[in-house]
Parts: sequence; structure tokens; C-alpha cells
Amino acid sequence: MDAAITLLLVVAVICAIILVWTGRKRFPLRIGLGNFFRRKTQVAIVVAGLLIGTAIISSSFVISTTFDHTIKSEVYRTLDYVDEEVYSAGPDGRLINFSYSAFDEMNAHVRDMPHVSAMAPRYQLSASIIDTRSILFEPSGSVIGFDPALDLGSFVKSGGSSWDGSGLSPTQVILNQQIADSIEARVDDPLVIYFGLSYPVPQFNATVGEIVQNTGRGAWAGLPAVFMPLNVLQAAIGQPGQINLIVVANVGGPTAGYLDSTAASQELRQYLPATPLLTVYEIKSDLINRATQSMSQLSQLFTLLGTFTIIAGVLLIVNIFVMLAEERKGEMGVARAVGMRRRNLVQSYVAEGLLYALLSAAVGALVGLALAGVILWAFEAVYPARLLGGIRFVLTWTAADLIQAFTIGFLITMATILLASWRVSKLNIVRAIRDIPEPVQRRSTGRQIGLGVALMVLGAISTISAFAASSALLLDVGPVLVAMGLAVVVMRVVNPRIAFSAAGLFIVIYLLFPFKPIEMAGAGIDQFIVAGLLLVLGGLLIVLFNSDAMLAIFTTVARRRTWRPVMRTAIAYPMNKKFRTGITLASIALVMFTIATMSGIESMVSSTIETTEARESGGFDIIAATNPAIPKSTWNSEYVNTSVSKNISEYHGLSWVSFQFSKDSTFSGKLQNTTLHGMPATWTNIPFDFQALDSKYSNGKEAWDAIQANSSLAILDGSVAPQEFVSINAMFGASVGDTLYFHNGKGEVHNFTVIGILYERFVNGVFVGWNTVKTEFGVDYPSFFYFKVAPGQDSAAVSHELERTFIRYQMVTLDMNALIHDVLQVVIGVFNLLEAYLALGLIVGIAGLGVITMRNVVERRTETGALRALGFRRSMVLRSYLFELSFIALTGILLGDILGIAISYDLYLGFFQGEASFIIPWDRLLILSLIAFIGALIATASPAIRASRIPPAEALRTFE
Amino acid sequence: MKGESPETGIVVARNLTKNYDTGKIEVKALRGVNLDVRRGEMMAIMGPSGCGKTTLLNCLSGIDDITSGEVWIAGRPISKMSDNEKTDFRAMKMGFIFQSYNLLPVLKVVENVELPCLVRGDDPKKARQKARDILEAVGLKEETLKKPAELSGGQQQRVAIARSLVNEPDVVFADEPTGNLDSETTAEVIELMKSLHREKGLTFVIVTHDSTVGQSTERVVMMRNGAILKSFRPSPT
Repeated sequence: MDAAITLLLVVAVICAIILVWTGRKRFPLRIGLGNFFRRKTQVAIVVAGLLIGTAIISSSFVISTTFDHTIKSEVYRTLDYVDEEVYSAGPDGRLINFSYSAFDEMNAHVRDMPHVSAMAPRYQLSASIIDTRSILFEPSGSVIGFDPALDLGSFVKSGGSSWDGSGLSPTQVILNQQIADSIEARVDDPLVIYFGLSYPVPQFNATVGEIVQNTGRGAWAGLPAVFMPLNVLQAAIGQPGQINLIVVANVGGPTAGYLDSTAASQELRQYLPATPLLTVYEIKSDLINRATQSMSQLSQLFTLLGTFTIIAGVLLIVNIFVMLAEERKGEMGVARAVGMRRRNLVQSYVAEGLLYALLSAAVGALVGLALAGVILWAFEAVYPARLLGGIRFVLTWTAADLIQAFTIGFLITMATILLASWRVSKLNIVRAIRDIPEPVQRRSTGRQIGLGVALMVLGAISTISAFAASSALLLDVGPVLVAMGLAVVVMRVVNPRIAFSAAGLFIVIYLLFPFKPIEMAGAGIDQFIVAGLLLVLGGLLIVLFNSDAMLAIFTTVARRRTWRPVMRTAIAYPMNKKFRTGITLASIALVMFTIATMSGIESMVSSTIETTEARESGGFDIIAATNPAIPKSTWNSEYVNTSVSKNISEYHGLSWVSFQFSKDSTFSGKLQNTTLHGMPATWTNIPFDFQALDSKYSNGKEAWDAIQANSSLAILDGSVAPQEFVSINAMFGASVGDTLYFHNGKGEVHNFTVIGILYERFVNGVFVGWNTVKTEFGVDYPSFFYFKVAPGQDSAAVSHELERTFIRYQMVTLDMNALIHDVLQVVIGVFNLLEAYLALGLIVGIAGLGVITMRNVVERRTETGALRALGFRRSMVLRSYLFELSFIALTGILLGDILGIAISYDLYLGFFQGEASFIIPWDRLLILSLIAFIGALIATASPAIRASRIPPAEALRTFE
Repeated sequence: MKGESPETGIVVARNLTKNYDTGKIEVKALRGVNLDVRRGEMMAIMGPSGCGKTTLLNCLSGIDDITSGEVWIAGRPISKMSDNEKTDFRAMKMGFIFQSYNLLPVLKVVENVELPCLVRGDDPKKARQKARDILEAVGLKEETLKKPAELSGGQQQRVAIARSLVNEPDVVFADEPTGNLDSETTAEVIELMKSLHREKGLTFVIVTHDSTVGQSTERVVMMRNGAILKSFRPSPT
């Protein structure tokens, strides 16, 4: 909040400075303020256009706050009082038992740890649970053994009362609501619990003693969990006196204690027993940081994409103020003639602009709040709660969000107004008074040549730096600057149309050329933004300087008597005011460009569904994992006797073990955690394709055979390759030829050489021969399976049947195709959301058109009267205005669409070729373009209709 | 004579009145004006500021609606026409010259002049040729591709004259055609109008406060307070 107050002070100071500066001679301030209150309708429309940029900024802040609050709330809920965990973990990541005495030893020193409030012992393991009344099961549950007298926080019973969990009988257990819903359990239901330990799997028969809410202790880690007294669990699994987890609460409570995790962890480490080797993990702090990071990337994406709309908003401000100036040219000229200085003109505009800035920023900040609400609603439609672990986003905002947005919006608007006011002040008095248009500039002035040279030098430096820094962004910007500078310089001797058309053509062709000397791989969204801006600039130059050609086409096409003169005037007017028209075109084209590009990418991603499904699944329908690994012989004998085996046409079981490796033979630096998969030798026709393969092997089969024959060779999943658009489970990067060093189960150092990288990314890890895993880690049993469902069978039903059949082994299945489909649908949903967000920018473009139209009607009043005298019917006047506006709107829309499709094709060549089809989303583009066009017509119809109805005699009377 | 009113004249007004209701008071801009303009006549309407000259011109040409009375142009009762009919009629039968030229600044000179032809529905190529021809006739052959802002006041008014004549109208209405010109240019423009009047036998109705212009016409109609005071033939200069 301090920062917010500081920002408000900054705004107040700026306002005060402006008021003092403009009010020193009083009259500029009075003129400025008077102009603001003169035309309320115009003010309303201008403010509506100006506020969009602030609304976008405000919505970004609110969305960020909402995500932050939601994530934190969820972490607080699931971890409750637990801030740190103390445990010992094996190389496979599983918790290792240790003696209860370790807890006693640490607990005795709690008073010596100022940041630690309390700690408690637990035993936690995975389990599958069956409710024998409902016959429903949960294959991936957890069992937590706790001490009711010592454990942190409390359960919350279904009625709302707190409970420490004491008073249970030896066979009673507590279920949280999550698992109770999953298996439709009721109090007193009989349960069978299979603990996730080594084969043979111990079983425990229990009854439901209580069902508690998913909050407090019962929400532990967001897991579907069963709680039982520690001593009962220890006895059930034959581990008396053993625990595998100590949970720690810090001073400060569930929502603030984690802020001192670093200090608390240091204190805990001081009092760790000598043996076993225990780790202190700052669980709450770590979860919040990781989740916040992910969400901030998403909210940053919104902000960055909103940049286009903010830029369009800035262009609108410039346009509005230049037009306001043109409206008052006469009175300004007279004012200058009688002694008003240029500075006073600037002051009057700045004073007026201050009101616009304050009003639009304030309203915009509030509109942004509503906008954030809409975006979150749409976000929840794209990401249903089930895909986010049940998390629901609740709109959350702070005064600081709105104040920050208000301040930034105000500053952007004021800066633009200052620039526009300065430009406006440079009018010629005589031309202003006599309303003589500015002379058409046909040749560069000396100052402009200097500017052109500067641009060329800047462009050259940028280009050279691009090669030095391998920056694709600088390589885009440099040559464009050179082209623009050259156009300005050669305009001294060459017709401006030729100079700038050539520059525009070069910019478009250069930026769209797919083969550049610097790789685009890993290009960020900032490059997309810059490239988009420059492309639209290039396109605009071509359009604006070749209007005669367009006019000739339209006039030739028009056959009806009344259309020819209408088109003549409709196109000539906007092309005569290139600056005004160009800015409006730019704001429409920019937004349509980003929407078209997003649509193109979305279509390509959609087209990858089939390819992705084939590559990720290899033709298999279900993947499954078991918790205790089952001996091969046991699995084989059990499997063939099950009814579910008849619904499966093919399956393969892989062994797996968690392991760590380093790319450095000295193991300095961070170790990577991943999974080692042992491919069964019986699987001879492995269907997963390679995106990269050692040249020694002519095809994939040779590589798969090689890893069986040679225990030092390995194949990696596709997540290790650089990701462009959709980052899935990327854990580390690697290439063919890399060496991975590791310690095996006996502590010896061995290594793998990477001979291939798959396309498949879903199942992460390192793939080696079965015997390699057996030799290095002693694992000789399958615990990860690929199943192919028999023809005519339903994958979902077979998945469920597999889980039910192998519940003892906590088999968890995944329907591959359904999951891939889900992921891709979410990705597409996000694209839709982003496109809708970008479409807000169209409001800016439409507002710009509305302001232009109002201004045009006033400016051309006398000319409209003359046209009516010459024989223009009312309908022709109306058509002329509407055609002019349609021309600008359609040109902007088409320009944006064409450039967007073109850059989509570039992206296809660079990133999607071979994986996706290039599809132009005609239907989506048509619909969006139509909406934009109709919106433009609606915004501009009213002033155009009024203009057509002015009686000719009235129009011919000169007035302002 | 074909195309003339039941009585005489290419332009005929009977009991023409025009009132403006400003909300508080009603202004009687024209009070029962009767006027006949013969075909091929070059007539000036003169009078002090506010006497109703421009209002009369606007009502005669159909640019403004009348309160009561009747107006015929070339035998057609324009006072009874709808807005579209009047507009179309103006395109076919009338030409206009304004004090401020009222050229479209965004169109080139030749495009300004050919505009009435396009409104009438002429073929674009023919319209262009007609425009070139008339511009040559008014001495602006070299200026066809310039924009109005690149011309002097006199040249712009010549363009306006060319535009008013390109459709070979029955009547040319001119409202203070020399109001924004210096005396030398005024004389040039008037001479041009006179020569075109002689060569083509055009009917001109010119509103002016400039006595020089009035002297150059065949008849002057003096107005005061919305009524015609007198009509006389000016003495030759």
C-alpha cells in the first residue's frame, strides 16, 4: 500500500506542476478547461477510447492478484499449519523409515528454535482403498499415521467442530471428504486398505470412524487420505517405533509462518540427529513460490499481449489530440496572431489533456476490474476446476492494483498528450486563420535528411549487434530502420510514393522471409510484438502511398451511376489525411494482426491432435503404473487369469526406478532427477518415433535394439528438446551424443550415451534395456505398463477395470487419448481466451473511427453543402461517409488479417512443419472481421446520418 | 418556348416567401418575391447585407426550402419536387459558383470539374474529356493535375466556373463569385463569365454586392428587406 500511496503522490505532484505551469498566466488553463467542458458527447467518446489502455493494465494487475491469492489460499488450505517437513528419502524419492527417537531428539529442542512453534511425527504412505459396501475404490490414496496428542492443527468434522482425532477404536480410521466422495463412503462402512509397500502387499481391514472436511488437518497435501493413529498404522505395516516424516509449524500461524522458513530451517538443521541423514524441506514456501511463478508467467502473457491494445490506445490519443487541434486551428491561429506564444498553446492543450487523462485513467482502472472478472469467468470455462485439482479462482483485488493501473494509465496518456500538444503547437498562423491546408511536402527537408541518416546509422548498428549477440529481434529491427531512413533521405530526389512504397514493400518481405541467418528458435513474445508492429508499419506504407491505384480499381468496378462519385470522394478524403488515416488503420490492423496470428497458431495446434496422439501414445490406449513392483512371474500368472486381459490386445510392462544424473563427470552442480525405464526385450516393435537419432542407426528399430545390447546407451523422451509454444513436462535439456553420469544402486559411477530423442514427451525419462536397470539398480519387475485395448472395447471402461482388478497393487491408469485431447482442448481454450482478450483492442480502433467521423462531419460541412448543390443526394452523402469508414475499417482489418496469416505461415515453417498442417482459419477470421466491421459501422453511423440530413443551404453557411 | 414557365423566363418565382424560425422570433427573409429571368440573360441580384440575396438564390436553385410561393426552372416546378427530385434536377440543369469556391480540396482540379458529370452518370472517360475541354476553355489546361490548394484564388474560381459549366446547365447560379478576389482578378473572372455567356448563351443569376460586377450584367435586381426594390438595366461602363 505504501507503493500505491507513493504513486498517488506522483500523480498529485504532476497534476500540481501542470496546473501551476498552465495556470501561471491563467488564460491557457482557462482555455484548456473550457474546451474540455464545451462538448460533453465528444468528451464521453474520447474518454471511452482512452480508457481501454488503462483497463487492460488494471485487469492484468487484478488477474495477477487473483491468481496469487488463489494459489496461496490453496496452499494454506492443504498444508494448514505445516511449514516444513523433515524426512529421509531414497534415490527413488520414496520416504525412508527412521526411528521415533529422532523425533524425540528434535522435539526436545523446540524451545531453542525461536522460529519453530511445534512439530509432530507422522507415517505416510500410498495406499489403495476399497469400500466394500459401495464396492468403489481409490487406487491412489494416502494413509497418514498421526499422533492425536501431538499433531499440528486439527480436523474439522462435517458439522464444523474442531477435533484432534482422538478416541478412535483400533480398527477405525478417519476419511477426508475427498476420498469419502471418491468411494462414496459413509461412517461405519467397512474398508480394505492395501498399503503401498513391497510385494507381498499388506492389507488392513478397517471401518470408517469419521469423515472430516477437506480443511485443516484433513486437507493434508490435497490428497484423498485416510488417517489413523500412528501406533495402529505402525502395527498394521509391521514397523513398530518407526516414522518417516516429521511435520513442523513455524511461529506466525498457517498464513505467515512460512515467511520465516529460511530461519526456521536453519534452526531445525542445527538439531538434526547425527543419524539417519534427514532433510529439511521448506514445503509451504517452495509450493507457493513455484505456483506463483507459473501463474505469473500466465498473467505476464496477458500483459504482453495487451501491449498491442495499449499501443493502439496511445495512437488513439495522438489522433484525438491532433484532430482537436485541427478543429480549433482558426482560433489558435488568431490567438497566436494576437500574441499567444507556442508554449501557451501547448499549455492549453496539456491543461485540457490533464482532465482527459485523470478521467480516463480513473474510469479505466474500474473498468479493468470488471474486465478481470470476465476474463476469470472465461478462464474457468477453459480450465475446469477438475483440471486444476478443484481450485476455483475468486476475483481478488487490492486498492494498490487499481491505483497502480490508474497511475500508469495516467502517465501514458499524459506523456502522449504532451507530445501531441507540442506537435500541434507548430502551426502556421496565416494558414491557420485562413484555413489553408498545409502544403504537400514532396521533398525531404534538411532536418528530415538528418533524421533519415540517423535512422540508417541506428539500423546499421542494430544489424551488426544482431550478429554479435545472435539476437533475432535486433535483426528484425535493424534493416527496417535502415529502410525507413533511406526512404526519408531519397525523398529528396525521388517521389515520396516510390520511396515509401519501396520501404514498405521491403519491410513486409524482409520480415516475412522465413529463412534468416539467426535462428528463431526460442523466440519470445517480445519479438512477436516488435515484428508485428513493424509488419503493420510496412503494410500501412504500401496502402497509404498507393491509394490512387486502389481508387482506380474501385471506380472501375463501380458501375452504377451514383456509386462512382461516391467512391471518388470516399477514398480521396482519407487518403488526403494520411496521418489521421494511418493511425486509425494502424490501431485496427495491429489488433487484427495479433488475432489472426493467434487464430493461425491455434489452427495449427488443433491440427496436431492426430499426429500428437499417434506420437505420444504409440498406438496404445492406456498407460498404467503400480506402486509396489510386482515380480514378473506373479504379474504374468495373475494377469492372464483376469477377465480384463480379454479386453486387451497387447501390453508391455516396463521396469522403472527414480535416479539422478549429471552431465558433468565430476558431478559438480545440480543433479537432475528423472526416471530410468527398462524396456522389455520382448517388445521388438516399439512404435515411438524419433525426432533426433544418432547417424550410426538408420532407423528407430536399430536404436531400440542397440539399447538392449549395450547397457551404456540410452534414449530420451522429447521433452528434452527445445520447446516453442507448448512446454510439456520439460525437466532438462539434452541432445544426441550427450553423456549422462550417474551413481548406480551400488554407488558406482557409470554413464549413458544418448543415441536418440523421441517425439513422445508424455512419459518422461531415460529409456534403456531391461537388463541395464536390473544390473545397475537390481530392479527386475514391471511397474509401468502400456495397454492396447481390444477392438470394440471402451478405453475408459477397461481403465477402470484394470484399476479394480489390480487395486492391491495400487494400479493407476491414464486414458492416453482422452488426456491428450484434454490437454489440447485446454491449449485451444487458452488461445480462444487470448483472442477474445486481444479483441478488446478493437474497441480502441472503433472509438478512433467514431472520433474521426465526428470530426469529418464538422470539417466537411461546407463541402457537403457544395456536393448537395452539385447533385449529391442525401443517400449519396451517407454512402460516401459510410464507404469511407468501411474502406478504412476493411483496409485495417484486411491488412491485419493478411499479415497475420503470413506470419502464421512463417511460424509454421519455423516450428510446426512436419508436425502440423498449415490451415487458414477462414471461418474464425471471417466472423471476427465481420464483428469488427459491424462494430465500426454502428459507431460511425450516427454522425454520418446526421451529415446526410443537413440541408444544403445550412451546410453552405460558413460556421464553426 | 420549350422549357420555359407558363409565362416567360427560364427562372420564374411567384410570391416567394421564406421565413426562418429562430425560436424567439420569426425572420422573414423573403417577402413575396416575384422574379422572371429570361433564357440567356446575365442578371445580378444586389442589395445591402442581410437583404435576402443569398436566400433568394438558394430558394431559386432549390438548395433551400421555401415557406410559400412557387419556383419554376426551365418550366419545371421545383417547389413541388421532393428532395431527391430537386437534387437530381440540380445535377442536370444547374451550375453553381460559390464565393469560397467550395472545391473539394482532396480532389485534383480535373477531378473536381468532372464530378458533376459523374453524378449525372456520364462515362468516366467522357467525363474526363469534357472536364479537360472546359478547363482549357477557362485557361487552366496546365493546372489539371494540381490540387486546389496549389492554385491562386482566381484560378480556383476559374475551376469553380469550369465545374459549373461542364454539364451544360440551363442556369448558372453564382453567389458572390468575386467576393474573395482582388480587383484585377475580379475583372478577369467577370470577363470570363461574360465571354462564356456570349459564346454559349448561358443564363447567369449572380448575387453580388460589387457594383463592378453588377455593371457587367444585363440586368440588376435590387433587394431590400427581403423584397425586390427595383430592376434596371445598368449603364454600360
